[in-house]
Amino acid sequence: MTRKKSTPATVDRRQFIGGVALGTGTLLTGLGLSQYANAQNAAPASAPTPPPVRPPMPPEPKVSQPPPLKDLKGKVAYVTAGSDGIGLGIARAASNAGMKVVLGYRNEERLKAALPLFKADNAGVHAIKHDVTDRDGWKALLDEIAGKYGKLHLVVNNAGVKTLRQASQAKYDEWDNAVAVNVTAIVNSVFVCLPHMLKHGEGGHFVTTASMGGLLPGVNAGVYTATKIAAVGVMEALRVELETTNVGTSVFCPGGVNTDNYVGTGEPNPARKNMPAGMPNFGAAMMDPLEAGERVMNGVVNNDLFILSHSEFKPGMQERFDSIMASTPPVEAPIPKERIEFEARVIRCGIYEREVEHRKKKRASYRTTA
Amino acid sequence: MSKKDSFPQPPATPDRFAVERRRFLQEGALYGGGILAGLGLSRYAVAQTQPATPPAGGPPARPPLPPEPKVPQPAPLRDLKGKVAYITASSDGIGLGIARAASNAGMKVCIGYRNEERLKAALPLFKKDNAGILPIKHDVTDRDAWAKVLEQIKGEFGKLHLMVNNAGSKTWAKLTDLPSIAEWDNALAVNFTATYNSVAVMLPHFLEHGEGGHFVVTSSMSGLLPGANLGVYTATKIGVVGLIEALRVELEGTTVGTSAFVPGGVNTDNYLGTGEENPFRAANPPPGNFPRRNGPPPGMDPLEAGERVLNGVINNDLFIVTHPEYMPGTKVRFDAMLASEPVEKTPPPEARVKGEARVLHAGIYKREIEHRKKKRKSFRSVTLDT
Repeated sequence: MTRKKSTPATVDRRQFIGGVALGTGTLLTGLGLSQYANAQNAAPASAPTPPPVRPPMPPEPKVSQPPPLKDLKGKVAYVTAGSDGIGLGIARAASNAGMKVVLGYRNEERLKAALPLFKADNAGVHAIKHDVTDRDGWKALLDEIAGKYGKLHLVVNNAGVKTLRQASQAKYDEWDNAVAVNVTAIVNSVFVCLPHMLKHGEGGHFVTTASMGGLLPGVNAGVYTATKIAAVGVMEALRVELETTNVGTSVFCPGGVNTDNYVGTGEPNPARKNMPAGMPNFGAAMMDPLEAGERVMNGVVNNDLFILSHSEFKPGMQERFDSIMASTPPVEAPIPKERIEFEARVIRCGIYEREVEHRKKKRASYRTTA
Repeated sequence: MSKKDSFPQPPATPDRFAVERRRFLQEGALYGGGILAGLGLSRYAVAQTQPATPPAGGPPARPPLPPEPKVPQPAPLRDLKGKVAYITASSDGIGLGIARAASNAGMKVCIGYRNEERLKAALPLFKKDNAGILPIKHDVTDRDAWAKVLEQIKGEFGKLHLMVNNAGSKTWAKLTDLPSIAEWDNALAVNFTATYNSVAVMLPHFLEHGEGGHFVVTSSMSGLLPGANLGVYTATKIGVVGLIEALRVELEGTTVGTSAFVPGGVNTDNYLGTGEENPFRAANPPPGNFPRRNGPPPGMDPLEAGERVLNGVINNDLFIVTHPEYMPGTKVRFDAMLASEPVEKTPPPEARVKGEARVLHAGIYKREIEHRKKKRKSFRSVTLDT
């Protein structure tokens, strides 16, 4: 699966991002990179060419990226694994907000149980059988959506592999499957859907359902936590790359959600009468999936980089971050000015400064989509 | 899309692994599983991996929370002398710096390499009275080769103690402008999955010999602060830091340590050590799109970087940070995450918080903060403070 080097993304993005990429490229030499791999990719050098001059630091955006999807009504959403659980909650919330919703599913029975839960006057609900690791399937999917609704605006990469496996014990296929679904599927979706979003120009947005395990790996199940941390990293990297386009990016990191038995407050999940073996039943103690979905849509209309829904995890996250900050070595000797200058393009990352500012705005509700 | 179908399974984990680990970790895994039900998981995939049969008599009762370790995991490799290290991609760059520092500390060193020329240039840089050097040609994405590498090391030195996953794929590719999706697959295989590969093969050996083991990965400051507009690189480097954290959670109760090395600028282009020009680089200048700097290099010396890695190993530091100038920017990243927690009018329901109790904190971080409170005379010394 290849495509031509030049995509609308290249054109759409402001020049400054390209400038940064070129500039940081040089610096990356030293950023933990082995030259080992570098030599593989580099073309054999014939005559040494003079080093290109590094362009000056380009101006940065002053504020966080404006939300590309402020008004959801009539727009089209695709939610992977949308026939159950959090995915169904997101799909219903999107439908309730007036979106045309495409549900990715794999299990017919579950889909059959899910469809009646959408309101009778929905703007459109369409189901497509889709395995997110199937790259050709992504292309076929986009064609089908474009045929049915014309355009696609919101992609929610919600499919996830739940595995209790420890990274230190996982079999190769368990690891590979989790990585393919939890991490690489996001890249698959961007590879296929981003050019379409940039082309129609009406605004687009990518959301990934990661987990609080992607910010605080407290669970002793490393295949899950490591792939969820990686998924969060993919979304942050996408924000850096897409900040000046009209495509937004959010990573949803929920804590406990009632994905087992309930589809909405007090609505028992018809497809979930029986729990899988070994899974404790939390009843309705966790967050309702529809509420989780509404919070995701609120994050989309605000273009929140991190959509967090469970404030009780904050102290634990703080602990993780404190332990990383506490690992800072003392400045034993003054750091050479040249080194700081050399690193200037990467020793800070503006998206976070702008996100902190963005979060200072008070919000009346974290659930409305208006 | 992947070679997974042709991949063999990792060697069977010896029973000792299960015995050696503290009970609490096993129980933690079991209970963690329970809570995972709601942690952003789609049931989509659960159904694939779980048996469809419901448990007889309803869900199992949750046993009480097991006790946690009170202190940070003691460093498994406090004395490096005579121990054996394997460093992938160590015929050049940071890898060579780590290999030389390990050799200088009295370790027997296995050098993973792929380019004969570069290896030839690197070998004379090790001291004459070194404890042993074994070059191993190795592609870290080749899983069959990992088992052979271990056999080769055992044949030459008997045991392996320190595994440094240093090989990295440097790619200019953006996630949003991939020339080919293979660009992503390759970077992910080298920067992320290769570390898992090393654990699958080396961990059973570490636990079997019981003399202590340690896994290090060379990530990058980009693994903590993705400022570079090169998403394939930054995302995979963030992922592998997460993998090391996950491994610390899993291995905390064993004699196997874990560290993520996150360097900033290191002089990997032209220099090997302070003032020592890299002979390979002098003969093979980087290609034109990879500008070589004129004048003295501004980054950290690779040998110093290597010494700092080994200092992190003997202290069993979870994060080996060497460039403090990145940390204010890193803190802003964390501030953005914390600021994203909703400010609710009502507190979260008690039953929910109770149900989540097992995952609201990860004890490794609390203990790492304690560990870092200890004063250290030097961050470069390869012997512990006495």
